Amino acid sequence: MMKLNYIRIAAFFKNIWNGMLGIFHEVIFTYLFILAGFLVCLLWWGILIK
Amino acid sequence: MILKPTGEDYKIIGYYLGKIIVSLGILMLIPFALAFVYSEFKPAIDFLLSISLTLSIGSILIVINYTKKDLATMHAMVVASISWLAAMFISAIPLYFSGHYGSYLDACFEAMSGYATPGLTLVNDLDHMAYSYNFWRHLTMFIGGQGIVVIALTFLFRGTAGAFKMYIGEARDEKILPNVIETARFIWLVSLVYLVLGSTALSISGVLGGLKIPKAIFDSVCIFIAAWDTGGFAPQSQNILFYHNFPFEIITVSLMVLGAVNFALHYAVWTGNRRELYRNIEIMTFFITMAVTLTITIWGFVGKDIYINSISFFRKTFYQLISGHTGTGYATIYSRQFVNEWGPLSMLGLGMLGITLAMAIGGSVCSTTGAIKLLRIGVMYKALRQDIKKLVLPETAVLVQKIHHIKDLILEDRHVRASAIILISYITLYLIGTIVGMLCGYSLTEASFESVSAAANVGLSCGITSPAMPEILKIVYILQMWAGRLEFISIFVLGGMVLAALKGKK
Repeated sequence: MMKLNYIRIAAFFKNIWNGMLGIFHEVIFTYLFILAGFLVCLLWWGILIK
Repeated sequence: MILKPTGEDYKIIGYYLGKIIVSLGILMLIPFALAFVYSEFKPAIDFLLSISLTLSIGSILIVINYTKKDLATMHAMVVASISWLAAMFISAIPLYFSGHYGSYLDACFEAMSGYATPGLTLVNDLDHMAYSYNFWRHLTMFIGGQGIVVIALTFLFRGTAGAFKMYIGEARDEKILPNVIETARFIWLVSLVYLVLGSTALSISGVLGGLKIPKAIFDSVCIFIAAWDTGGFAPQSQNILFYHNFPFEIITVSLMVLGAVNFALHYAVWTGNRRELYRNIEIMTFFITMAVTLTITIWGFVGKDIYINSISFFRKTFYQLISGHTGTGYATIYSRQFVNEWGPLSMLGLGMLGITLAMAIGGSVCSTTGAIKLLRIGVMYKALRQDIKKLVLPETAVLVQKIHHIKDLILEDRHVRASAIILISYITLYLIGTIVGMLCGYSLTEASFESVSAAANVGLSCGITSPAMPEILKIVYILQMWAGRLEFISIFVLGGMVLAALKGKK
């Protein structure tokens, strides 16, 4: 019984940790996406618009 | 032979429709409470009347049609499609009472624009609208973006087998968890976590940008809702342009992108499969279509001195494009600038063409966006590549085309067929709106831009959408928003049931 509770609690915290890492990855991903968009804009601005 | 629907069919549909209407009435308690917080007594009375009416209609439907039978696929599809129309008529009541709309049709347009998440608006004098009405506009977006049926599944349904069929009828074809109610709850969990994070980030940015704290919090919650649900309503008439705040814009872009991501992908990333974010076919397609449409748009600005430096160029072009591609509809330029600077007056109209294409493609399936969607574009591209390979390779060669979406899948004819049906349906819907717009006297460029924006549930406007636009166009856009959000199948089933009721055999 004790062991089962320990496993459940550990799984719970592992889920929380995975969720937090997941959110962190998603947010970083969106900022990388924005950065990529900025670089594309900068490239075309330099070649075509300026 | 088509069979006429029986009385029992109508009872099942009426019973579940009643349940959904009751859940909408309960949700109206939120703006009702907010009216008291802001001491807005006239709106409070309007919401009280609307809640009473909604709960009465819902309860009567439940009592009259009480049944213990579960939903069959036909019932679920019909409930899913009718519930969106019922939600529009009901939610328009407090909006109409607000006095900010020229007619009940305008209020219905606003409600459907909220639920289907385009964010096109016919409101008058938005800047002086009471907080509770304004919040209700945004709340319709939250409800619609998450899915009206998803809300009902989360709170009102207890393990019915028909629940999944209704969930599918609402254009959510991915069951993330084995139990559909657990799936609906996971969708809410993701949204609520990002609600806290996104609203906090926007509030801090708003306060640092000069907003007072209560205003910053109210606006941040509203803007989070509209950005996450790829809606596009804003508490101010000038939309995001009102804030003149670069960090605010960046945060809204990240929320728009996150809102356009498949909930199944959120689940994969949140449960440890983080590499999925860089392998998924939808994300890969998003990168490619974004790069292509951004390049097309930028070509429209060649030889024009509209933007003074690369930063303002990035802030205007990238922002409008990502807003269009994710189906959000937030803008940092005025509507007519699309025509005057991006449209026919730019090089070959490429500016407006690029953004129209981006709007037509949209975000991921099982997200809060509308339009054709990235998975279908990816599938069609892979199918085309497979067909070309078949022609090039020896006839005896066996060709297996794989796609990676959460797991490796073998591309089959049924995937391509399903994608092609939706693709053709969307193109037809875009064309119908364009033709009606042109018949109302608008140019091809403007009519197609606005039609795609309505049908793809985007909400960027080139100036056609206004209280003064022809009534017929308002009705067509309402139908486009509805059909575009539900992705046709449930509407086709509703049409089939009407036909069966008229011409079916007993």
